[in-house]
Amino acid sequence: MQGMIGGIAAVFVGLVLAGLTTVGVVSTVSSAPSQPDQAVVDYGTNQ
Amino acid sequence: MRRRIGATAVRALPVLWPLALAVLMLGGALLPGYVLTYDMVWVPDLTLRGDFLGLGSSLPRAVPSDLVVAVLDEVVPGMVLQKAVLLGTLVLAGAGAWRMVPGGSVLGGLAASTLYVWNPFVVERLVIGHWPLLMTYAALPWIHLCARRVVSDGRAWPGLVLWLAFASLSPVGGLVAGGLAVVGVAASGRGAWRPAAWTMCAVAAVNAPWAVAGVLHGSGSLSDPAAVRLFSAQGEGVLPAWAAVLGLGGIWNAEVVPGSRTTWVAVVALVLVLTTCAVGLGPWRRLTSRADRRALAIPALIGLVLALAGAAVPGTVGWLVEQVPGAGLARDGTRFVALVAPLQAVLLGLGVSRVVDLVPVRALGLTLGTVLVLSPVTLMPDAVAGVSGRLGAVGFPMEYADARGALSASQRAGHTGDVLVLPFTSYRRPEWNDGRRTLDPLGRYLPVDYLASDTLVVSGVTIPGEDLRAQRVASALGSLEGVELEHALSGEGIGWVVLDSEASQALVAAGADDTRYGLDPVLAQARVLHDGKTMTLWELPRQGAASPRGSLGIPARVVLGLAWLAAAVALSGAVLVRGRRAWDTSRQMHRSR
Repeated sequence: MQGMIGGIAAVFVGLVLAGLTTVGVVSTVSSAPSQPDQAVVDYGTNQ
Repeated sequence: MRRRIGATAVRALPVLWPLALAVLMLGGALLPGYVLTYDMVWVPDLTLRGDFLGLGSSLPRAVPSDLVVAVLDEVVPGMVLQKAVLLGTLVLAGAGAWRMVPGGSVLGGLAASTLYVWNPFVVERLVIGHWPLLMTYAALPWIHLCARRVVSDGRAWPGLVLWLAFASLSPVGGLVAGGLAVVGVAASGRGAWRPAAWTMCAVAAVNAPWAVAGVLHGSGSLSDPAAVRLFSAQGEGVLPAWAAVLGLGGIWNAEVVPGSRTTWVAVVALVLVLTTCAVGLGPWRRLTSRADRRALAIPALIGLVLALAGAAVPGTVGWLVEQVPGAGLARDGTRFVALVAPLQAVLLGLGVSRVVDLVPVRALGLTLGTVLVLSPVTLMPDAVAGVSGRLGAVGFPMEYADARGALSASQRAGHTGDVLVLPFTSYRRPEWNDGRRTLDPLGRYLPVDYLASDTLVVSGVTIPGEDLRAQRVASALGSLEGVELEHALSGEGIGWVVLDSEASQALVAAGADDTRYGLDPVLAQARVLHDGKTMTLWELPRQGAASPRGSLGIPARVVLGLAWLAAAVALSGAVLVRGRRAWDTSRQMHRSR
C-alpha cells in the first residue's frame, strides 16, 4: 500500500514538473518572432 | 475485482493514451465542419469521377486516395469520415508504436507512443494536409510487426497486405510502406527470399494504380529540377537541416513549422530524445534479434539519406527528377523521415524504461520517467488545440451548394465536359476558412472532373506544373477572349467555367493580376448558370469536342484497368482469408463453450 502511494506521489511530482516545463516553453515560444505574411498565391515559404 | 479493473485499464492504455493525445492535438478540428489546410481538402460529398482512377491529364498525385474517399463517403458523410481518418490515424500510430517496444514495460510503451504521435513530422504534415502520408506513418509499426512475422508464420500475410493497402493511398506513402515491408521480411536473411519476393508482389499490386497511371502520363511525370532546392529539407530555428531531420522535422515549408521548433527548445528536445535513445540501445540489442534490428535500422538510414539528399546534393537530385520519370517523388524528401520515427520510438521507449530502472530510488525513477514520457508534449506545447488553431473546422458557403446544383442540372440536361476552375491558381486563403491557406476546394466540391492550375509558387518562385493541358489553357486565358476563348476551352474538353470572385478580388488586391489567371474571363456566348456574390458558373456552348486532348486512349485505359484489378485482387484476397480465419476461430470458440 505504501509503495502504491509513493508511486502515485512520484507520478504526481513528475506531472507538476512537466507542467512547469510547459509553462516555461509556452512563454519562450510566445516571444518568438512570428512568420511574415506570405503572398496570396504562394503554396508556402522556405525562408 | 479491483485487480481485474486494473488489468483492463492497462490493456486499454495503448489505445486510450494515443486517443487522449490525438484529441489534445486535433482540438477544434474535431468540431462540426471541414478541415481545409494546404493539401487537405474534404468536401461533403466527393463525387466519383474518371480523374480519380488516373484517367485525367494531370499527374495522379491523389490516386487512389480520392477514389477511396469518394467511395467511402457514399456510406459515411465526408465530415464524419475526415474526423475518423484524422483521429483514427493518430490512435493507430500511437498504439502501433506501443506494441513495437519489446519487454512489455508500460512506461516504455507510453514513451514510444507519445513520441510517435507528438513529434514535428506529425504536426507539420498535419498542418500541410498530407493525411494519406500520415496514414502510411500510422501503419508503419503494424507493417513492421507483420513483416517480422510472415517468415515464420504464414498467418501474418493477410494482415501485411491489408496494412500495405491502408498505407498506400499516395505514391510516396506506397514507397515508404513498401520499403519498410520488404526490408522487414528480407532482414531474416537468405532463407527469406521467397517471402520477400511475395512481399514485393503485394507492394507492386497495391501500388499499381498510381504507378501505372504515372507511367502512362509519360513526359508529364518529369519534374522541374529547380523545385528540388525549394522542397529540400530546411533548418528549423537554430537547428540546421540535418539536425531538424534527426528530430523528425525539417519540412520545406516554414509556414507549417510550430513556433516551439524555431527556438532553443527544439535543441533541448533533440538532445533529450537522442540521449534517451542512446540509453535504449543496450536493451534493444539484448531484447531483439539482429534481424529485428536490421528491419528498423536500414529503413531509418534510407529515410535519413532520402530526406537530406535534396539539401546535400541538389544538383544530382535535380538531374534525376528532370531525367527519370517518377523521380520527382523524391522532391519533398522529408516525407521519408517517416521511416526514421519507428526506430526512434522503440529506442526512446526502451531508453525511458532503462533510465527508470537505473535510478536507485523507485519514487525518483518514476518521477523522472513521467517527465521523460511527457517530454515530447511539454517541449512542443504549441501542437495542442488544433496546432494552436492552425487546424479548425469550417462550413462551406451556401453558394457552393447552389453552384453544384446548377452544374448537376446542366449535366442532367445532357451537357458534358470538365469544369475549369478560375482564378487559375492553385491555392486560396478564403475568409470563410478563417484566412487559412488551402488548395482550391471548388473543383472537388463540384460533381464533375475539373481542370485547375498545377503551378506552384514557393517564396515567390514559380514552379511550372506537369499538366500540358493546364499550360495550354493558361495560355488561352492570357491571350484570347470571347468566342475564341470559348472555342479554345471547348477544344480542351471544358464544358463549364466557374470563377471564385472572392479569390479573384484577393489576387487583384495583392497585385497578382496576371492575365493567365483568368481573373475576369470574357465569355461571349456562354450561358450563366449561377451568378452569386462570390461565385459565377458558366456553361460553354457545345462545340462537339468533349474529350480533352491528352486524355488516355483505349489501350492505356485497359492497362490502367488491369492495374486496378491487381490491387483489387490483392486486397479482396487478404480480406477473404482474414475473414475466413476469423469465422473459423469464432466457430471453434462457440463449440468449446
